[in-house]
Amino acid sequence: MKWLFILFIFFLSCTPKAKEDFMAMPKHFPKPSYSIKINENKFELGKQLFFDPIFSKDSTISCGSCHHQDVAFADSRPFSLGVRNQVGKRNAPALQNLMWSKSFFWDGGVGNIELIPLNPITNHKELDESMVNIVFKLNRAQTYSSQIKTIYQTDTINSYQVLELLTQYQAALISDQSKFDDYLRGNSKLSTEEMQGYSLFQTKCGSCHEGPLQSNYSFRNNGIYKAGDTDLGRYEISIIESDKGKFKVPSLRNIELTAPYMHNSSLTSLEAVLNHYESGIHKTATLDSSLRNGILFQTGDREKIIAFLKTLTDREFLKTNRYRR
Amino acid sequence: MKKLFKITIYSIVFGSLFILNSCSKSNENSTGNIKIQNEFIFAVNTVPFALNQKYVHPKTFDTLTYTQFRFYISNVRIQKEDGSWWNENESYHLISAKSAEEASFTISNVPAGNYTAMEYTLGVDSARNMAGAQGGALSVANEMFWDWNTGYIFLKAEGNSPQSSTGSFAFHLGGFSGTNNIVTKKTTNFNGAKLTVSGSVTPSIVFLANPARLWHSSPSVATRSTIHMPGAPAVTMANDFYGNYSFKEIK
Repeated sequence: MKWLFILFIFFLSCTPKAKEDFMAMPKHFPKPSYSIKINENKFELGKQLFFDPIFSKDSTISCGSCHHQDVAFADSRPFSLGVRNQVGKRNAPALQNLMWSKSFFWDGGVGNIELIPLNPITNHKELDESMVNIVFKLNRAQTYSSQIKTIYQTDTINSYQVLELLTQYQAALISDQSKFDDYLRGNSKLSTEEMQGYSLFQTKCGSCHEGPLQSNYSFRNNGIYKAGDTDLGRYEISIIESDKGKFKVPSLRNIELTAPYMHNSSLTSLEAVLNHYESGIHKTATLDSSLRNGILFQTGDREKIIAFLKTLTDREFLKTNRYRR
Repeated sequence: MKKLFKITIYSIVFGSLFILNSCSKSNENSTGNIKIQNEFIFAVNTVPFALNQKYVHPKTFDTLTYTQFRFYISNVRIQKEDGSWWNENESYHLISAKSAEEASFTISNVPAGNYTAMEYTLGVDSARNMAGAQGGALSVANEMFWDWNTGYIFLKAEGNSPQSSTGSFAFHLGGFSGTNNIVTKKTTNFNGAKLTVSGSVTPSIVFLANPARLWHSSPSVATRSTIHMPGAPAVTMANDFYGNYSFKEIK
């Protein structure tokens, strides 16, 4: 018995001091879609990979070239620039609270958080690279060999590990420190105007932009899609007629900073977004039933709603050194 | 008398322990391997198939040179004489027509015995399609995965043809949900033959794959030279190829 105990102690001391699960899960969020424990070593290496241009065909750009922390890991350009300055076709989405999403990208084409990076890596207009070649280049460069050794006890890295590391970084991009979060936690109050805006928002926008995550992650045609558009959204994945022009409802967290808005970047301000919902909706067969008559705002409503939307800005998330290279 | 009784009990207990022990030991030793082989033919049984060779399709009359022909076999299970099933763990295998070696795989630690049937899946089950990054045969490094529309490419046929407007063809077949689902479970009873697994010899189960079957009811590459996502055209092609894929022999 005694030596069993000693063996146990020995085993404990052998286990590397893994800083497992060093990111706290926000208590006021629902249960995440993925249960990913963030390991600090993996997160740190994942971060370095996120900003490493080795991921692009000509080693000019990285994941971080189109996903900037100061705008919630979105891009202020209407369409991001890929290798050889090629222009993409949809607005780069913000990267935040990904663990709570069930599908990824505007069309929901990617069904698992770990597979997110493959899409921009292989897209010819984005990084235009292959996973096989990235693994080859990483192993040739040996930039991270000591970290890889520490984490995986191997000299080389493989594609599974590259995806795991990038997932560790991206999953840890959790925004839960906005004024709205403080309000939900019961730690602070919203101003009268913000509170009025919140109540208007809940009745007019809350059926899609619901809960602390500010999205129900469904696919909707919100009237941006119009006859003749070549981007058919969800239909391009599902090939179901009723999905034409539907796009994933984005979270509105940090919305103050993530202009331009919508999948096609057609709206440049929050005022323009509200005007769209009131009077700019394109009526096509798949238009969301809740938007058939537009959303009516009384005088002063817009300002109040925008005041509320600004409470979704999470300065800590946008500035913290933790996410910086 | 009491002493004798004690000894008897002891000997029974230890004796049976010994027997049990030796039984479990012999069980551990009595496992064997099975090799699953794929033979490729083109159109009819007499034409062997290889990559980088020209074939004329008997139905579309397209001249086809395949540069790549790969597909997944997964979730292999075999049935013993007594009706019980043995499942291979982590059963995902990528078959390539590139070489005899890449066209076969070995299943190990199979309990010894006589087997009368095998069940297998052509494609990858829906759970694994959605399961995130994986290793082995399912590693994304095999480039049998759609990055923009999550899911495995169950079958990849690429090559060249003068009938195609681009000069080439690329058929990537997959789909695991709704009407686009082409995950195909099949069973063979080895045409009545018996598969005997033992530690001493490795039997081979041979299957026949016919890449010409992709065009059994699909149009010429002049009409359609690529499929890059799940959908009706992929369902037709997969049904024709998978339907024809069959057990040949045990050897």
